[in-house]
Amino acid sequence: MPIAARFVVQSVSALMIVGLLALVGIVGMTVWLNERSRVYFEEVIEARDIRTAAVDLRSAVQSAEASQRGFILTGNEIYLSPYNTSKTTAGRRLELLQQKAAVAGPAGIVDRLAGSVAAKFSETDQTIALKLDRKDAEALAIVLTNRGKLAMDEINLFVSGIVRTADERLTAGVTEQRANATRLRLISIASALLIVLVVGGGAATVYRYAREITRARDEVDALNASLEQRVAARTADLELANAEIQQFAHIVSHDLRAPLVNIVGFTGELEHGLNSVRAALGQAGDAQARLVAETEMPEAIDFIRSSTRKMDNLIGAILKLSREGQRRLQAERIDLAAMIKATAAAIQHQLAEAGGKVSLDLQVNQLLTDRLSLEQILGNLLDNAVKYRSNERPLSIDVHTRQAPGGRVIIEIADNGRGIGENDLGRVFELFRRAGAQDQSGEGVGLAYVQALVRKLGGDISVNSVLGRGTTFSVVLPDDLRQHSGWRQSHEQVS
Amino acid sequence: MNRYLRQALLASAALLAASHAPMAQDGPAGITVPRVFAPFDPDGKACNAPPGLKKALAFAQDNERDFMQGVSRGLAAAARDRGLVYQVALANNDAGKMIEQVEAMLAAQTGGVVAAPVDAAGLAPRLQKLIWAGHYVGTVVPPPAISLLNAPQYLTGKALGDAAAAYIRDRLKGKANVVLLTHDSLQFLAPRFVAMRDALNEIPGVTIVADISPQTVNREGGAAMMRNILLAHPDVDVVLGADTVVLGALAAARAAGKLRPDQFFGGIDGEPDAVTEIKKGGPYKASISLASSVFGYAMGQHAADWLDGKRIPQAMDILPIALTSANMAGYEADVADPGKVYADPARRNQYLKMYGGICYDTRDQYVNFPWSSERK
Repeated sequence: MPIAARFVVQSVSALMIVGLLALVGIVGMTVWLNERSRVYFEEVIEARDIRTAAVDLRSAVQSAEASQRGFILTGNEIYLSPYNTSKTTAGRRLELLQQKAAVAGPAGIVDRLAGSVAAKFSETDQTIALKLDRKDAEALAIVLTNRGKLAMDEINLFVSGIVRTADERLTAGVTEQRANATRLRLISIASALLIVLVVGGGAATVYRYAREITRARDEVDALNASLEQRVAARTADLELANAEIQQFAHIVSHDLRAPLVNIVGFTGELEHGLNSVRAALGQAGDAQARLVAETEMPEAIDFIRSSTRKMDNLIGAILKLSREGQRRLQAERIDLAAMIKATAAAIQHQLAEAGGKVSLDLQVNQLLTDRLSLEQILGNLLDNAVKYRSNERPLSIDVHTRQAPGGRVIIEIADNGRGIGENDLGRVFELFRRAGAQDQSGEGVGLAYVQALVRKLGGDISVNSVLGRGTTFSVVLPDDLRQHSGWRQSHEQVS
Repeated sequence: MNRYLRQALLASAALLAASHAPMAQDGPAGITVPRVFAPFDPDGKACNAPPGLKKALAFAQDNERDFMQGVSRGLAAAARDRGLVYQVALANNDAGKMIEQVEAMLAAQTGGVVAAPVDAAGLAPRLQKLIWAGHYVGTVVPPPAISLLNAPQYLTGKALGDAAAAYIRDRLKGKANVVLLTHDSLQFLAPRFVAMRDALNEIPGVTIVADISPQTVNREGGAAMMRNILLAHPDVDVVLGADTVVLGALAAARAAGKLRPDQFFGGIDGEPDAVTEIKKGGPYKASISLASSVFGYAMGQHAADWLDGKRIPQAMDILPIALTSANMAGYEADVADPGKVYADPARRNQYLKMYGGICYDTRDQYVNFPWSSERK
C-alpha cells in the first residue's frame, strides 16, 4: 500500500512528539529523583545522628555502671575515674535526643528514656556516695533492690526502640532509593526503547516513502518512454494516413476538375447555341418555343454555371488543403509582433471601412515556427473577425500573446463581433461548415484550414464565444517547432 | 503454684543453711549433701512396715489456693483407693498453727503426713521427728522429707520455650519479635528463662526485643512493663513469662490496640485466667501447668506403700505440661481423675518422674537438702 505524503508528515511529526515526550519524561524523572535523593540523604543524616546519640548514651550509662560496680566491689576509686565523664556524655547525648524527640521514635519514648537515665544515675550516685562514706552494706542493699538493673534494662529497651526506629527509617530510605533507582532505570530503558522505536519508525517511514517515490518515478519514466514510443508510432501512422488522404484528395479533386471544365465549356457552347436558336425564332415562331429559348433555358444555364462555379471553389479548397498537408514546414525565428502588425495592416482597408481597430498586448515577441503557416493562421482569424463583425458597433480586435507552461505560447484574438451560437461552437472547425447568417462569401473552409495548420505546427486551437457579443480564438503553439515530435519525425523521414 | 514454689524454695534455702549449723537432735540427719538420685526402681528390696502407726494420711496445707486444693484432691483420692483415713489440717498461712498441727499428727501416730510448709525452717524439726518415728513424710519442695517433690525449673521454662518456638516456626514463618518478662527478684526461677532463651536461640529469625523484669511480679507490673515495651517496639509477636505478668501484658497490649490473633502469649503456672484466655482461642496460646492433683495422688499412694513396707521414691519431679486449646480437655480430665493417670504407667510418666528409693528400714536416708533433678 503506498504511503501518502500527508501520512508521512503526520506520522513523522507524531513520532517526533513521542520522542520529545520520552526525553521530557527522562529529564523530569531525573529531576524528581534528585530531589528525592536530597530529602533521603537529609533523613539519613538525621537518623544516623539520632542512632549515634542513642548508642553513645547507652555506652556512657554502661560505662558509668561499670565504674560503679568496680568501685563497690573493690573500693578502689580508680574505677570512678570515667564515671563523671560518662555521666556528662550521657547528659549531652540525651539532650540531643530530646531536641530530636519528634522523629526519634514513638511519642514519649525519649521522655521515658530520660526518666530511666535519671533513675539509673540516682542509684549509681547514691551507692557511690554510700561507698565513699564506707557504708558498704547500705550500698550493696540498694544494688540488691535491682533498682539499678531495672533502670538499665529500661534504658536498653528504650535505646533499642530508638535505634530500631532509626534503622527502619534508614531501611525505608534505602528501599525507596532502590525503588527510585529501579524506576529511573526502567523509565530510561523504556524511553530509550521508545526513542529507538521513534527513530526507527521515522527512518522506516522515510525510507519507505523515498523508495516508493523512486519506484513511482521509475514507473513514470517507463510510462513516458513507452508513451513517447506509442505517440511516435501513432503519429507516424497518422502522418502516413494523412498523406494518403491528401494524395487521394488531390487526385480526386484533380480528376473532378477535368469533367467540370468540360461542363463549363459545353455550357458555353450551349449558351451560344441557345443564342442562335433565339435568333432563329425571332419574333415569329411558337410562343412556347420562344418561352423556352428566351427564359427557361437561360435560367438553366445560369444555374449550371453557378453550380459548376461552386463546385470549382470546393475542389479548389480541397486541393489547397491537400497541398498544405503535403508542404514541408520550415522552422525559423519569427518576430511575432512584426508579423501580427503586418497581418493587421493587410486588413487595414476593411478595418477602416468597418471603423474598427486592432489592439495589441504582446508579452511574447519571438517564436520559432513555420512562417507561412503562422501568417495564414493569423490572416484567416483576423479576416474572419472583420467578415463577421457586428453592424451594431465599431469593430474592435484585441490580440494578446503570452507564455504558457511547457514551452508553449498562447495567441489570443478576441473581437466584439456577432459571435457564434452555443450550438454551433463545437462545429466551427469542421470542413465546409458555416454558422450564423450566410451573408458573407465562403465555403466553410477557413477555420478547418486554420485548425489543420495549427495542429501541423504542434499546437491546438479553441474558441470561446457569446452570441451577439464577440468571439475569442486561442491558439497554443510550441515556442520551438523543432521540439514538436511531428516536425522531428517528418524531417527525420526526409533526411 | 509459682508463689508457693517461690516461698518453698526460699524456705528450703534457709533450711539448708540451718542444717549445716550444729544442733542437738534425736535421730539421723538424713542426706544433707546434695546428690543425684538414680531413677526409682519400684521392684527393689522390700522392707518392714512401720510398726504402731495408723493407716491414716494427713495433709498439712498452708492455704486453700487452687494448686493446693488440687494436691488435697489427689491425696484424698489415693487415701480412698488405698483405704487410708484422710484428714486435712489447714494452716491458713499460719506457720505456728502448722507446727502445732504437725505435732498433733506425730502424737496421733498418723502414719502418713504430706506437708506444704508455711515456714519450712520452723517446720523442719517437727518433720524430722515424724521421720524418725517411722512416718511417711512427703513435702512439696522443701526438705526434710522421706519423699520430696519438686518442679524442674529449666524443664518448665523449656516447655514454654519449645511451645513458643514451634509456634514461631509453624505459624510465624520463623520470624518473631519476642518479649521475655523475667523475675529478677527470684533467682531460683532463672533456669526457666535460660531454657526459654535456649529454645528461642535455635531460631535465627527470632529477635528478643525485650528481656526485662517487671518492677512488681503481678498483673500491674506486667502491664506497666508491656506499655514501655510497646513504646519502644510496637510490633511484638511473642510474650513469655509467668502467667500473672503475661496476663498483665495481654491487658496492656489489648488496651494499646496491639493484639493480633496470630500472636503468642504464653505463661507458666496454669492460672485459671490464663486457661480461660486459652479457651477463648485468642493470642494467649499456652500456659505451663503442674498437675497438682496427679502428684498429690502419687504422694498418697506412696504413703500407703510406705505403711505397707514398700519402697517408694526419695524424690519426684512434677513434669510441666504445656496447656493449649488442643490438649486442654484431656488435661482437665486427667486432673479430675488422677487415679486413672497413676494406674497407667505411660500417662503417669507424662506427669511424674521418680528418683531414688527408700523404705521404713532405710529411713535414715531421708532427703535433707533442697533437691532438684536439674542440679548436677
